Amino acid sequence: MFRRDFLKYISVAGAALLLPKMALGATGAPYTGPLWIFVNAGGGWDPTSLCDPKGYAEVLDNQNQLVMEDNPMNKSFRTVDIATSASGSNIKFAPLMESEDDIANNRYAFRTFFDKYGKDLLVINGIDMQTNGHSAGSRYTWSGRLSEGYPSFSALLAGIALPASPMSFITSGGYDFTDGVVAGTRLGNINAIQRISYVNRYSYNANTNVETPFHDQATYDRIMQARDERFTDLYNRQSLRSVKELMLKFKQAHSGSNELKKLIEYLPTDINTHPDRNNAVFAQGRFAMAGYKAGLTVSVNITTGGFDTHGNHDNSHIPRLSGLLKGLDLLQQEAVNQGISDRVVFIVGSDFGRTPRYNNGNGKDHWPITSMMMMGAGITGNRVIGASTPEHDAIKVNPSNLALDANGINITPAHIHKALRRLAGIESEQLITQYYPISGVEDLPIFT
Amino acid sequence: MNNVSKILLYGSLPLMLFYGCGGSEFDEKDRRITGVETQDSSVACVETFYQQNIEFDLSKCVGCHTAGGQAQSTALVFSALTSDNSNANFLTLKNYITATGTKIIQKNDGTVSHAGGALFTDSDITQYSTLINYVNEPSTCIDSSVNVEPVSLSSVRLVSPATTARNAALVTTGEAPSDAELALALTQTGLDNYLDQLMQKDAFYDWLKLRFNDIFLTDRYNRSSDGINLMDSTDFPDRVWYYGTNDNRNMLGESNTTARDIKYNRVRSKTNYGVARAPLELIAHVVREEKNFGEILTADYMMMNPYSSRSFGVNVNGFSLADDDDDELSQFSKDNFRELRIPGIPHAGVLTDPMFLNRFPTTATNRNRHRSTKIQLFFLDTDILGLADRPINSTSDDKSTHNPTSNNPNCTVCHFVMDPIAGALQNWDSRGRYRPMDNGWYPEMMPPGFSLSDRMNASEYPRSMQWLAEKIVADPRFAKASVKLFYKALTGKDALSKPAYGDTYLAASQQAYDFQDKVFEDIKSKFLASNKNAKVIIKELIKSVFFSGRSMTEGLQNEILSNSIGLAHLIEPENLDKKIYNTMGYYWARSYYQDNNSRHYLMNESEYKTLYGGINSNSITKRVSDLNGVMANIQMRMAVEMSCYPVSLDFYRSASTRKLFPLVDKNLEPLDTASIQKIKENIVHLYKQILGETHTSDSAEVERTYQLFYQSYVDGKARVDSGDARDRLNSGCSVQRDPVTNQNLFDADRRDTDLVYYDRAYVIRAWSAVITYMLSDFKFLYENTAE
Repeated sequence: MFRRDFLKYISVAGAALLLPKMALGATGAPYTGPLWIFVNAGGGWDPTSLCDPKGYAEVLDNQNQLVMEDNPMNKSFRTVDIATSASGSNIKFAPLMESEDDIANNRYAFRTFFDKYGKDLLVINGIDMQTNGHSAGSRYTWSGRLSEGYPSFSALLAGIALPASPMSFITSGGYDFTDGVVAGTRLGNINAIQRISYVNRYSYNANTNVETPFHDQATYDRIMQARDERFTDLYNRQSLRSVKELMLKFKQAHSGSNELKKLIEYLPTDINTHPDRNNAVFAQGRFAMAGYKAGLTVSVNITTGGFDTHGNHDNSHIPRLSGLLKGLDLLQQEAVNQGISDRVVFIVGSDFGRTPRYNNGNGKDHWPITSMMMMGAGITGNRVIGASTPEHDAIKVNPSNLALDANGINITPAHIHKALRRLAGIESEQLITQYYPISGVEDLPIFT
Repeated sequence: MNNVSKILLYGSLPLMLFYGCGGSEFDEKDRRITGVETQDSSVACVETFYQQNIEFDLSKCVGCHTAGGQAQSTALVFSALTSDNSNANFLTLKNYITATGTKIIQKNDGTVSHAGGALFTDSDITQYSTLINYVNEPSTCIDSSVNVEPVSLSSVRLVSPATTARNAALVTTGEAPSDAELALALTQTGLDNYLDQLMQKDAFYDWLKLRFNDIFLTDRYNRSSDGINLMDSTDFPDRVWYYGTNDNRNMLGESNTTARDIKYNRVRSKTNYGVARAPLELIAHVVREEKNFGEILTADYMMMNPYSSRSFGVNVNGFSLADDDDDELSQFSKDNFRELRIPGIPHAGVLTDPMFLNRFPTTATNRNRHRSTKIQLFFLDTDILGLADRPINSTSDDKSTHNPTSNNPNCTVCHFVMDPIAGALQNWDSRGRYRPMDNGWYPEMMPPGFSLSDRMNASEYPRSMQWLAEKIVADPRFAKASVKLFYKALTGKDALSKPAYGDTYLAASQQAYDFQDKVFEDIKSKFLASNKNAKVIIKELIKSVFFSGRSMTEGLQNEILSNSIGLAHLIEPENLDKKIYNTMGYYWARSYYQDNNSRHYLMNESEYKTLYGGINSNSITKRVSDLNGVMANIQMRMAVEMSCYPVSLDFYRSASTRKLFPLVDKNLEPLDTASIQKIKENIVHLYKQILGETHTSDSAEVERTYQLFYQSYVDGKARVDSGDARDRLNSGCSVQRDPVTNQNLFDADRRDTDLVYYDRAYVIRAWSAVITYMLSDFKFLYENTAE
């Protein structure tokens, strides 16, 4: 079993000194936790057009007609029309993509998502990102640390749970820095993956279930043994620490090579033909679900971009939000179909928020106050934590009970990640406490 | 490093120390404070305190108190918050405190009127009070610095010149030098000469362009007609010159539809190649011709091949469709790029290339800021996004600030650095077209220039990009940025960033950064002395510890530094594709794609390129360097597949032309001493050919491989004899037809000599096992210049 091979090398070769972070994660036990799906709306999304809705007011003009106020927060919906989830009375959302034209063109209405999942959703509003920079914001959202150096939370989870799996951490981009905790895996053409899942397969007859190998099994085993022996010799002779680390990672990656076949068994048969296969959130998430069912995957970074709308905000940004929500909906349905809906966690966020009101180009610029949405295993839904003012400034909260409190504190990603680590049950892992502590911030009862 | 050393290291700037009775001059005219410098270690202590407690939050002041800011006429004017200006800003603040006492606190706690308001928190007041005390009495400063001992170059052992030469060739061209070539590179002088020769090879520049594309990503447009489609049809009416006027492609001169389509696609592809590759070709051209490297920005021309020159309306020697063929040696070859100018366009190297401008786009609201950010990152060693790493005060009343990018400190920390250069790019629109602005630049933005204080005269506006290019190249940061560009190209790594207070491994990071910076400074000096010949940088980097380092002194425990010594990394898919071919004489690709580079398994995004960590220069722009399980499987799959047909093909060739089996034939069984010796000698050859290792036939390493061969042979032959294994190769692993003439080798006169099909003694399959064993080895799949 690949984990045993890796653990063997950890102990025998003194590799724990060279790959301490991976060694700390290699428990050897099968992973029984949830699948963590992190969805990044790249570029800075606009919560006021989503889960922290702020619309426009109508005022009477000089002809006594109701018109949109000057300089509104948002132009696409009225404040009075802000909706409440049919399944979660605490969840407010922007009533968008509901026009006749939207319906006629089968666009995904925000209401569809929020009505369906309101009871499951935890919304955190008024998060103070403390930055307007893309790199810093993305890093802070997904690692819990504003400055450089910490791996993404998704990489940490995978590195602790399944460091030796061939695809423990799947990433399509965004903030996916691993700091060597685990190797991130990209996904590609399914036919290519099928071919490399069976490295020694020359041909396969599905009718007779007969596989013809390149090397017969005895020869192949002999090759593997010779490789192992040579590797040990090379490793012991190597003097440069950096090279020894690379060699260990090489060994670890190869130790899981047979496991990839399991992925093929669990891939949906319509992976290449599903009508929504072009929805990036859905497509990437499906792959990860197959990996999870195969016992290979712990977490996935899904990135969907185009949210940095400095111009023409409503026409560009709102459809992208719609696509993101649709992708989440499809994924959740997939989880139900796969029988794992009780073992999936969704974490959705972005670099930062967008400015209240519009700039001269009808766009919105960077704004340090934002929101996140979460749902899934261990998360109590129908809740909103934190808030923002009508001008989208953060409102402070009491750190003990999260009630709005002018004398309280701003919620930051550091607080959220501290709570996420507790939710995941990894806050006391040596990897965390020794290398990636989050200190100097309060423990907020976000998930309790 | 002690504090005095730190001052000396950073001390190219004049030190404005003000201690005791040192003279000072108060310049009434511009109300700035100047001073006479003296050095004192306690002042260094004060500077450390400033760096650790004040500097990170200085943005709240710099927003106004800088050239061009609202407080630019006051007595406190900072420089932009780039790492270069850290010391300068400390001295500015220190001198202000010396002259005005506690005024800085009084201004910010509401005691004294301050246009910027009361910005200090209680914590700020405490820190500034401490700073004031230290400035007034430096001897009271409590040293909070992290003591870092400098690392000397002698702490790193290097590989031999010959090994460096070999590694340089493998890394850049994918092909090991011959023994004769290596024999000339036994000394440092010989190594220099060898590297000069290496940098004349076309393969070297193929590699250079590949690596610079990793940085500039302009190959995003090197597919289909993506580059051509960026060209404005009004500016370049001939952009699709090969298309014809009536959509029947008659101008292609082919009556046969299939032939016409083939020609059309070939010509279109070569045209797009010329358009898309222009920026990378310019870089390669400047390096190859040993021009001043600044010419990549100041060049008043573009690089065009005959095909793209037609698109740009600048014909080359009357090139026409009749000249199109597949002869790559022809003067009209698609790779024959030359300097050409488009009339009316004020070229400025890559800065005005449509590919570069579109790869780093702008919009009506972005106003060239993205381009400015990238230009400063690439060519001025300035990371503007890094300036925003400081936490901002989100509770301040930002929305009431008019024009925040010019007036709000939370915004100006970046925009003051970004916007002047954004203005200098004014003549190039969102599509990368030359479009001088009729109404000038936006008045609410910073004036166009190189910086807030270095503004462009209006007379320069028509040639603003050329003006900017000249400024960049003349700036000292350009030389340092150039060293870092080639470091990235050669190693695939970014240069170490200067550590910030609060970094997890501050001491180790500082030590490693100082070490690397010292080496870079040395290379920079040589680069400048050579009139900016980029080959000097390349050679010095190859000879440096970052490429040729072998090991470090025992007892020197710095993981960050150790990881920067030598070059050990996973070979990228493009270079592995070449290496496989150079080693095996066959690409890892289907037989009918051998001559189609883009269809090789490691070069094709639909196959393994992306899975194996490659980029597409579009949505995937970062290579994966940490091996994962999927990539490991690709390695094994390659090793297995390449042991199939390519092994048989090598046996098919005459012994003198074989890459793998020059000393044995396909039927040679290990039945006696002589045959065993031959087999072992061939194994020795394979070690050299595939892994670059030198062994003797009686070494333990060769014996292990021989046992792999022998046991596979014995076991396999027995199973063939018993009927449990076939007596022939898998069909796809055999050579049944002549690879060139396609003649069927089952013909009687070639059946016994040339056919590589039967393997009754299991010899060929035993050799296949050896090939898989070697091709899946760490040393084949990774580059390690420490050996």
